[in-house]
Amino acid sequence: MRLARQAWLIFRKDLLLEWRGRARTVSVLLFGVVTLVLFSFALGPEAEPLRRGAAGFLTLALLLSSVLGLNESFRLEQEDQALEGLLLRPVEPTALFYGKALGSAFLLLLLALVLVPAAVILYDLSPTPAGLLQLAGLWALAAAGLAAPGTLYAAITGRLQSQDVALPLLLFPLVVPVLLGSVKAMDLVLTGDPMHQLRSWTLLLAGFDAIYWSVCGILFPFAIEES
Amino acid sequence: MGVCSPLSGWGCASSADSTLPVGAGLAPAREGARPSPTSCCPVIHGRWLRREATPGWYRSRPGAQGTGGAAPVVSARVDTPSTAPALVASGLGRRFGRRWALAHVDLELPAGGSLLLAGPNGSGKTTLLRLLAGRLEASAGTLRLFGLDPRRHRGTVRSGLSMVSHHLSLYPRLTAAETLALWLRLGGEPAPAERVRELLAEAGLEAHGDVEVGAYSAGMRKRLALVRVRIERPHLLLLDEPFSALDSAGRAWLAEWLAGLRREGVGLVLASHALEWSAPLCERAVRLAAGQVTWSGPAAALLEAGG
Repeated sequence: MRLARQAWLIFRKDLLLEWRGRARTVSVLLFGVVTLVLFSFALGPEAEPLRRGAAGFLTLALLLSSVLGLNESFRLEQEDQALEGLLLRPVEPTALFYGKALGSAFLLLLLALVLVPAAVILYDLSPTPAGLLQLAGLWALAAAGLAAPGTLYAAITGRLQSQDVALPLLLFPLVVPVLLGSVKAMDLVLTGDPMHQLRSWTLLLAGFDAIYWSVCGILFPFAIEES
Repeated sequence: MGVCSPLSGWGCASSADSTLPVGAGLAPAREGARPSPTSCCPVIHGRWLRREATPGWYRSRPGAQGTGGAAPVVSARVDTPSTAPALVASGLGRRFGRRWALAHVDLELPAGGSLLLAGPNGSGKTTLLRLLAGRLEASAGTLRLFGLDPRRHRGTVRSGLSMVSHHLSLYPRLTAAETLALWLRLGGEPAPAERVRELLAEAGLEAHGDVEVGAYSAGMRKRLALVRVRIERPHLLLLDEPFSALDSAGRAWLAEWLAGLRREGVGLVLASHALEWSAPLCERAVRLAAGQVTWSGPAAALLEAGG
């Protein structure tokens, strides 16, 4: 109960700080849109290759934007050694993890509100309303799958001068299953699912989410304790 | 070179004492000698000795052998019988790579006691405070806080500690009222507006409660961070240079505020260069240099000796 309450308070605090420092959120959103635009430039004006690659482009835009957001999330905690204050309060490190991971996942969910419509326009997609709902669900699973390990690694790299480089180097190999699951499942939603594979890919994505959220929650206290 | 024997029966033996092996054993405290910053105790590492007839507390290492024969037998500790010492450190050390930032530190602080850490920049004061706060692991020695091993009872120990360091652990985008409310709620307490106003008033910030902390002066930020300690209700408060960034009025406020905490029985470990403000708040003092305790005695004696 205490853990859940503290996690909720950390989550609310992060949202409030996000709202007060909107420039960061806006820059993450813009970065995502620019990424989508660049992909469309790279493949040329023909609609068909763009449609075929849309799921991959969306997932990559989410991944690249998430790195920006995650880096900043722990910069807030390092700025005046606020993290140390929280740990001495004492806030349960596990509560801190779930609070911050929820905050990051929420920010990545917000990205969907901008990036999915942008992709529909840029890549000439025509998803059905049911397809849009499925995309939203898959986006949420992908965001969760990036937020948990991203929060863990952001905590580890937060004290490094090379944080901006170290975080993607550590994070990207770990989230390959999320990338694969997300790209494949979104592709099935956007281009059709004649073999009824969507359920399997969605379960794979959800399974990795469950693993990441539990394992990272266990490892996080070790990551933030100084040795 | 002899023994510095501070006021009220406290003593601190020097390495040249014939009964005392360097860095080991113990020596009986003698009376009369004045503490001297240049001659006192280069290797006794904060061992606090006192006459057996005087109530109080001291450090010893039972069974240690002196070079001059059998070590004097002094019982391990005299303390309020029912209260575990707030802090007992024995041979405490911390290494960063190959460099020892802190070595061979022996300290003991009774519940509700107060200790001043003095010494030049880089002498290991902050490292010692961070070790005590559990934010660093010791590379050598043992540490017990409130009678508990902090590695095994991390949560319990931390709930009895507060620390205000150079970095004040504040979020610049939160207002002072939001900061205090968050702190209350994280501890499981409700955060009614009256309680928050009360705390703001204690810090002299009642007119600025709705201002983001990032817009505060350094002194206001420090007062906010300090008053947050009230919410934590610690048994032992660790402060790193609390008088820095405060003007004379702010220092007077802080001295009075800390004296109030002391009267309530809160223990205090205070690292400071501002001896004229911090020494009157503390009973005992140790001076650190290059990571080692080079002198220990009453805080008043340290102030008289000019630090």
